[in-house]
Amino acid sequence: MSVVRLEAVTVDYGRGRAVGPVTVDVGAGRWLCLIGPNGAGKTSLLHAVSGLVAYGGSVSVDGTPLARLRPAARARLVALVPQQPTVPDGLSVTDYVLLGRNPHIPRFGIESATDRAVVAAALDRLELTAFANRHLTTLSGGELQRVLLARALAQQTPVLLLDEPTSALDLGHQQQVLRLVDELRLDYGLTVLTSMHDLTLAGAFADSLLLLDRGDPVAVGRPAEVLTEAILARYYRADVQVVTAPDGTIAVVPTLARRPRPAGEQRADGLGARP
Amino acid sequence: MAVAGPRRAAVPTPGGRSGAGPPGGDGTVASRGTGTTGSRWWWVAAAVALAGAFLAGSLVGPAGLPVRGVLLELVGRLPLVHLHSGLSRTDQAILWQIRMPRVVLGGLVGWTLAASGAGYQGVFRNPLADPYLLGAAAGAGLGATLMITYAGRISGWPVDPLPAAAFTGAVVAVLVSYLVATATDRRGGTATVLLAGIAVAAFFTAVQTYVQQQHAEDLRQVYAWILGRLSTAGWHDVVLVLPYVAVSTAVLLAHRRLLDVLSVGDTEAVSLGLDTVRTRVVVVAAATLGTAAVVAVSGLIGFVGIIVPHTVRLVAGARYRRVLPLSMVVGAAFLILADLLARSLAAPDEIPIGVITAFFGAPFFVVVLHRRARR
Repeated sequence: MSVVRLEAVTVDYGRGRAVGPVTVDVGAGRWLCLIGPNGAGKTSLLHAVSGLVAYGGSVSVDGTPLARLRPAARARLVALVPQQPTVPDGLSVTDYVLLGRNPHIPRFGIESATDRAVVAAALDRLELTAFANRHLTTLSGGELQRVLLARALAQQTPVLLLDEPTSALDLGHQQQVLRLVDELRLDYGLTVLTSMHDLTLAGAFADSLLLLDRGDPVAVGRPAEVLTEAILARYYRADVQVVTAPDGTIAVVPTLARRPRPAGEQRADGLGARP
Repeated sequence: MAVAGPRRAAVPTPGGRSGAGPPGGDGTVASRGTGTTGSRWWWVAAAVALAGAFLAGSLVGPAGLPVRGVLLELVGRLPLVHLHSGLSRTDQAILWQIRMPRVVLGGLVGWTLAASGAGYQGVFRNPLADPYLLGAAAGAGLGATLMITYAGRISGWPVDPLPAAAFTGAVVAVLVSYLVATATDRRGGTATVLLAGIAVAAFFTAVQTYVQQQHAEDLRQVYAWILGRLSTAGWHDVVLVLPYVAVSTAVLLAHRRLLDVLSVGDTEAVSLGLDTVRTRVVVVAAATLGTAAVVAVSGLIGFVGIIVPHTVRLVAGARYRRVLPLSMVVGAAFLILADLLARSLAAPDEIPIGVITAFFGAPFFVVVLHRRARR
């Protein structure tokens, strides 16, 4: 199990600082979830950790700074499940999961029996064996998310990053995917970093939360410390109620305050449908 | 919160290639998924097509050589075989000095253009990419036109100057495209490179057209070069292109698996540990080198680089590890047959081979597309 350490990490796209400086440790085998409003820099931070964008500061896994590693060596430490994956035409599920073996295969080599065995095991673990020969384009959203997890698992990294793993899924599939991530974390001792919009799910699954607001880390801690009505009202500019269930689960409930208005009162600026 | 230790370690230890064997991981599922069973038949089909094209190309010609004699002559050249073909000296010369170099060169040109097209389509993740995308054709055209119009009457060149000029033009044009693109966008994004290629190609074509119009007396010769031909092929042409084709083929084949990794886009490919910029530069360089070399001896033969990889992809699957080598074999067969038609259909005149590749290639491609869509 590996410790992920971010020290004064900043991302700058040339239009001023997008994220940071962020300093945070993710303990071995722990799950840290990045939360924050749209544009807060969650994806940028995940992309920095996976080496997809240039960044300042330092990201290290078990003391090894990732910036010094070659792409393949870094991809043996950190796997990323992207929010919107590119789904290539004409690839089978097995072909696609096999791409996760790339950092383990010599540059000009071909996959070995070990690589194929790891892919088969990853498909088996995610109950995708029946889908092995299906084309990616024929899968549903939930199935595709499992295939992406299988590809990341086939990378055999100690650190798993997931960018909005539930954003394209319905309620049931959201829970299934997050439970699966948690099981994989425990099964293989993975250290997990995710970004998530659903605060209730984030609080239920992550060990700790990091709240970003316009790139700045504004709150970090256990879910109960970060998911407070005061913090959420301030940074999300949303009216919410935080309810703690008897079992300790924290639910963030939007207070649905429709503003009352006298009947028949409508604007007369010509934008409404013509009678 | 206490984190439990690993409950089971079905997947081998992180970072290690040779961890404990995962249960049920005997590879049967994976090997079925990678389609190794079907691929053998595609190889057989492609090899048969190439052998058939090669035989047809050797047997058919205006000299009307006896079929039996040609076959015996070909077999007799195999190592450890001693046969008397019964061909006269003249017939032997026609076969070995006129037909065979033409067939072999046609094969090499088709092989290289199809492979380069597949390589370009892979690195740019663009189905419309072809070997001429970054200005190779326009550059070669300008180089050849300049040579024909300004230097064609100068004699005493140590080497044939026309292929050298075309080769240089093609390489320079692609190099300029890449430099323009990276100067504009340091990371060399695919869209920037493609647009730079279009701009450079347009510029080179403009200069070429101007020079061509200014020298109407050479128009016919320039035009014949641009349309492409194998009619003057000799063994010296084969020897000239062979080293380039060998290097280009070796590099492209070495990258065939990496092109599959690139198919998930740059961002994900980087997260999978691929150096995308280096991969793209190396593949483009290899494809350009091969294209420039074959274009230098054959002129601009269009359509092969786009139709062959696509046909292969439609029937044999999208993975480059299969598309790339199969395209080479199918491309060679396709161009040998196209050249056969080019020299036979209007004999004793020759139809430009570029006309044949498009005239017969396009409808064939439509049929393949149609069958694919109905599946």
